[in-house]
Amino acid sequence: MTKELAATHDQRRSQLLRGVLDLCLLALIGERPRYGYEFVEALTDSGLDLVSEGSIYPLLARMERAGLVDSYRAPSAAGGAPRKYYRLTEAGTAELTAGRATWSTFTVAVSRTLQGEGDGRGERDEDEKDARDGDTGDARHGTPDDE
Amino acid sequence: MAHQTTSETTTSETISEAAARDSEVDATAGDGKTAVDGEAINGKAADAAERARVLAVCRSNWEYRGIDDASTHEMLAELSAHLDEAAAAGRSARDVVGADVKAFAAAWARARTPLHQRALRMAALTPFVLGSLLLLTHLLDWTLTLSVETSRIAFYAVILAGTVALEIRRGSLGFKGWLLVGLAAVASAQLTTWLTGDDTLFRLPLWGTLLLMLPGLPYAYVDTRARKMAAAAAE
Repeated sequence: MTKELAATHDQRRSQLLRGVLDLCLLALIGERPRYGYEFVEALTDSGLDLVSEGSIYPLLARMERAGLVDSYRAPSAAGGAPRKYYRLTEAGTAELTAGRATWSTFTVAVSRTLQGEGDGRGERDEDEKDARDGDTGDARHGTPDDE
Repeated sequence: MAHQTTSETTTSETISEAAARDSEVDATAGDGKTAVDGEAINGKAADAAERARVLAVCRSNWEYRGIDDASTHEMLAELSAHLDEAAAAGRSARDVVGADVKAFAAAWARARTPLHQRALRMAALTPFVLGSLLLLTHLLDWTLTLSVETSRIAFYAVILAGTVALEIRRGSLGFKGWLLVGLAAVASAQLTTWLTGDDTLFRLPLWGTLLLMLPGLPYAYVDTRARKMAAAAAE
């Protein structure tokens, strides 16, 4: 049961990340031009583990085709063969700004919904607790009215 | 004195037993180290083989899905560099591309080049490959006109389908693959002859063969040029 819950939790995280991975990649490229492996490192450092690291490549290719990013080859700081670096285009910058605004609105709405539900449950729990305490208190101590 | 002697003897026995135990422990530790080294070497060899397999499967999939040579080369270089860095960080090729290499390669191919461009390329290159095989047959038979029978069609169809299926799945045919495809092609040609006879369906002149190759020529030229440029860049 615990394993199932953990699997469901992982699956939800993975699905949430999949929905915003393109935005995360745009934001990372917005900081500075990066190559493939650097995206994975940056995402992992932020606590976002990808189920399969390679899933960034189809996304980068799609964004390159859409004109949101363009690429160039340059030697990496780590050495070895030249890497393919991605950088933002003007369209990419506009997309990132729009994406950030959408994300902010969305997260506020989701947080409000989740928080509201949580608060409601908390209030209900407190009411129930008060009611139980009241019953116990009445039974234990009695009230002048009862008497 | 006798007691002392006995005691010394006992001590020397204890020391020799301890030394024997130590040597046994050393020997065991030595065996363990050798075993660990062996496992590490086997692990590295397995990782290298897996890396080569992943790259080969991706290459085949991209080629057969109509990705041009320059793009295939670029994607392979990008993936290869990523696999190297991931391996240095202790992660396997499977961690990078996932359990299904073909699905990964297909997703990247679809994202990289639109379907209509890939379809156009394959529509031009498939007759080019078929034309090349037929041209070879013209040369082997030393004739300007080929007699095309159902068995010949079956032979080439099995060769093409078998090669594509195996290369997409495993990355390369290998000797066993060639043998398997060759035997299957000969068997299917024999079976077709037995079932339909060996009557000539039509006669294909040399110009017909060359015409088949014509639409694929520009692609073949561009690919050859890209390969030469990539080789020059690598040097």
